[in-house]
Amino acid sequence: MRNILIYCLAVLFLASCGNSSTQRKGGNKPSENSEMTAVTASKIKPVVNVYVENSGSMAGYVNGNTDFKKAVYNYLTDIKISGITDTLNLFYINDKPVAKGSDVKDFIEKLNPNQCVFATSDISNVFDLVLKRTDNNQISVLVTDGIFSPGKGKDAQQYLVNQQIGIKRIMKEHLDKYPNTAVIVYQLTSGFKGTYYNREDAKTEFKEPQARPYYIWVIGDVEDIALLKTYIPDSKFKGGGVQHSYTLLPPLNMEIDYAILNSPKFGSFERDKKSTKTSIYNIKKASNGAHKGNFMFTIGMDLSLFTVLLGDEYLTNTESYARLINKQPNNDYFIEIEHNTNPNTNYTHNMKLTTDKISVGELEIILRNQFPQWIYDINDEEGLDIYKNDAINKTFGIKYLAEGIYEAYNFSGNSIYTTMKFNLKK
Amino acid sequence: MASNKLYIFGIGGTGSRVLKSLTMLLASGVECGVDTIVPIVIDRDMSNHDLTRTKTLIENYIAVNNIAPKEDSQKGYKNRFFNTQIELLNNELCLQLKDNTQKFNEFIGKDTMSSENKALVDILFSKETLELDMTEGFQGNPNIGSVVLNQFDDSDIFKAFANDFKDGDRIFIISSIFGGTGASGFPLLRKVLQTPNQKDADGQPLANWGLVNKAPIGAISVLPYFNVGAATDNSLVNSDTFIDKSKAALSYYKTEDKKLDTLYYIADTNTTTYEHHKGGDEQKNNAHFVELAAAMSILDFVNPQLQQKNIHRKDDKIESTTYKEFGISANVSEIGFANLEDESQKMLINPLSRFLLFRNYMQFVFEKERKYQPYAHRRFNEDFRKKNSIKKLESLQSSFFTWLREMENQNRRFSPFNLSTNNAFDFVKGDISLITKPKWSDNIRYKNWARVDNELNRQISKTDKALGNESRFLELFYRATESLINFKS
Amino acid sequence: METIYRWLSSLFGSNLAEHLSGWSEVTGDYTEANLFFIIGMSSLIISIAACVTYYYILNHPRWNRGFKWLIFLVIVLIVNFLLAFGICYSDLLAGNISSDISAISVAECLGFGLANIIVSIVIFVFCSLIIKWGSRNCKFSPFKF
Repeated sequence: MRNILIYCLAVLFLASCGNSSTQRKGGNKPSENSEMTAVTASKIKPVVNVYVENSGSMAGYVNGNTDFKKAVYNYLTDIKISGITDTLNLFYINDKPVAKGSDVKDFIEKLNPNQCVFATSDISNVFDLVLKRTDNNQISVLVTDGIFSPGKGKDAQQYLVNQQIGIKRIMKEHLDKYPNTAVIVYQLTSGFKGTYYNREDAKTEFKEPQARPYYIWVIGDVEDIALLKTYIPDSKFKGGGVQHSYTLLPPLNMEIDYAILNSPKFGSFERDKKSTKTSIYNIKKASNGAHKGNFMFTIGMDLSLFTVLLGDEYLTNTESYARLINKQPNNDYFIEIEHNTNPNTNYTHNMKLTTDKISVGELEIILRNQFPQWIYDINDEEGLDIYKNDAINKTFGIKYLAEGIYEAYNFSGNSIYTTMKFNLKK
Repeated sequence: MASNKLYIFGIGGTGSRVLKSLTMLLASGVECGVDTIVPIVIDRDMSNHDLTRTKTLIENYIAVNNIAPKEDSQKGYKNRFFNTQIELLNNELCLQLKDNTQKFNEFIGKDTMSSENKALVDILFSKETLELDMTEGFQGNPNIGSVVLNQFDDSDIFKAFANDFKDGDRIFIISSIFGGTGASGFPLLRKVLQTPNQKDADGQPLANWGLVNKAPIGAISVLPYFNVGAATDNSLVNSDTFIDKSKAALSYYKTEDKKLDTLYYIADTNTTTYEHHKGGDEQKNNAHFVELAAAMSILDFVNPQLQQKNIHRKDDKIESTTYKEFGISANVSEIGFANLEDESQKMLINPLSRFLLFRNYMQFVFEKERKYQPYAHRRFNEDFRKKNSIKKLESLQSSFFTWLREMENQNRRFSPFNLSTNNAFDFVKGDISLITKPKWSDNIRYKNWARVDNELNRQISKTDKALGNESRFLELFYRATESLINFKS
Repeated sequence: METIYRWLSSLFGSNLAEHLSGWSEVTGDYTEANLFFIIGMSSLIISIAACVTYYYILNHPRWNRGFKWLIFLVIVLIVNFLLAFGICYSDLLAGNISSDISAISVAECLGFGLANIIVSIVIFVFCSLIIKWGSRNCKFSPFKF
């Protein structure tokens, strides 16, 4: 698995080279493709199954040449031309999947409100269907508005909690069978013109296109997902582009390149010659100047792989990193993350750790699966009045869906992506 | 041979001065065939300044000799300074002639004589002579001297001499042939020493007299080497009569043949005129090379390698007397080492030069450098110089320098040394290359007194730590000067 | 050597210390020349050589006073100061110091020169105490014991 991920990096590197090269003529795409093809030739190509939810609530997204249509069309086309797969299957999904062939252009052209007439489907059910059709060699792409529909007269809170539990179970069962499964959720927006159904199926009409969130879920083997993300980074999405994304990975426990840097720092320390990158001692706080009484040191991290897999937003979020000292959670050090601009080193990100109380021992910085804040932010807890509490930009119950999946992943403890260990001594 | 002694009778002023020269030579460490010298000055004139000087000198010598390590290859002692012991009988140098009679006619008891004897006395001695105050020497009258000097066998020192005498000991007599005490005393003394069964004043036989009779005996007769200036007081001493008196004495000495083993003569025609003082404190004649040469005759007498030449006996009877005279290679008025014959050079150059270097160091350098040099560290500090033996050593060194200076200022100058320099190595005149060739590394680095300090620092670790500081001091300086000054003919 | 200088690092700062240990930001390790070692060994050799010269090669009875020993010490200090300061300063001017090492100026280089002076004094005094015993003429210089 590690090798494939390294191949991703290599390809990424080559791709970025290709883009920045001024000597290349316009036809650099073909040569890129051939390189990509060469890389993937050693592995069996997965099948990509695309499921577009066609319940009634989706009609508003496909009313006219919407961003939704543009984004989906572009994404599927990119998948096809990336060479990652030889087989792309298209489906509508509701209470069951309906095969729609493999012609993306045709599929998109035919994607109209009149195709979205079915009753609102239960999103966890849809998820279940999709998961059952996903395995090591099949990538599933699910396009959905992600809204829960409990119906009238139901206890919404209870309903959502039960849904979450259900999803958790489904996901866990799937993970037990296919432990290397990764899940991406992209959140995009598109103009929505049509009927909005709230949690009690009450309607709200949007006569004019209203920007509303929708989601593209991608589920598959982590290596395939990695390749997919390598070839199609967030920036390639059209139709408004990716607003947020969240990737759930299996516990990779990757080893990356990292080290304690010389600067910036407040105060001083000496390096242990036996492990100069990670072990320091004789730590002293700054004795004068603006930062008197503080100790700050900087860690350089090569997160280039995780930039691909998890995205920059995730990596620059301090919540993504757990800190332990001597195996105990410890927040003595205040952390900040920024990009590394030193051309002489290979690190992509720097983490600054500041404290006025020097804690010593074995410091572990763990990059792991952490539920992102943006899903909480985009979650509509009530789901009744679309115009209240900025609900127009939110999705009812999306949190419960995502949390269910999250809990399945972190069932046996947080899924650890990489651990960086340091030794601090007085 | 086991410890044997040489008893030296130095008669009169010359005796004192030759003994002084001998002491200087022994202090500097010349080779001496006996372990111990016992000097006895015979003089009527107790307040003679020469005598006083000599006595002080010998006392200083003895004090230093007590702490000086004796040359001993087994113990690793190289020191030769003050190697020979000097003893004083009854702690006295002067065999004082017991006599309290003041005038000569009283002494011979003219008043108690018969008138016939009185007439005889009047014929023999002049009126002035009869009226002579005898506490001031015999003012150049050997005829009187002989009468008086007959009394010395009664003295305590003489008895001590007899008691002390052992088989193998030897006797030497120093006297001058001119002037008073010496000329007459010498043959008298010799006669007394060889008369068997000599008795003392109480009529008791003198101890060991048989050994004394048989002992090897040598003598030196010092012929004129100075004139006396015109008289300034009523003095009967007259230079012009020196030669006449010498002739008279010499003919008498002819009868000494076969009574002595070896008889040495020395004289100098190139004379200095001394101030005329008839005796007392002011008869302080400056040192002369002749006295040094006379001292060398003593060393010649006891030289074990010259025994065959000097002594010819059969069954304790003297078969023939060896006669020796001192000479230098050319008649120069300024004698340097180059003018001495090989034998003299060998005997004198190294000891005198080393001792002078030692003295010069003490004079010019020691006080300043002892604070810094390792050889002196915690050993030779401020208190060291206050020690009795060291004070006496320095006094003796001062006397040594004066002795050299005096000899330099005579008409017949003995000036092998440049006495006015205060450099370390240019104090020897002439083209004799004395200084040992230093190692090239030493030569580059160390100049002048620094070279001496370097040598002292080098030698200190080779000296025996068990020695007391004063002894070690001498051993150290001998080793250092020996290392720096090593004349090889 | 390095630990001794590090102990004095308050004089020249831990940043310069990193450079002197041979820090290279490219490798993220101490792979450059260990200047502590180079300067330290040189200073050690110079100090010992001067000491040996004073006690055994010059070994002079007129140079065994304390003041003269001090001359040798001062020469050693000047040479070693220039060595330490010079190397640092030339690195500074030539831009040989890793860009991730901050806050190094003339002051730090001078501080290191000073640190080397202190180290040299200790070496020279210590060496003197040990080797002076075999010196013929300077055994008690400058200490009277």
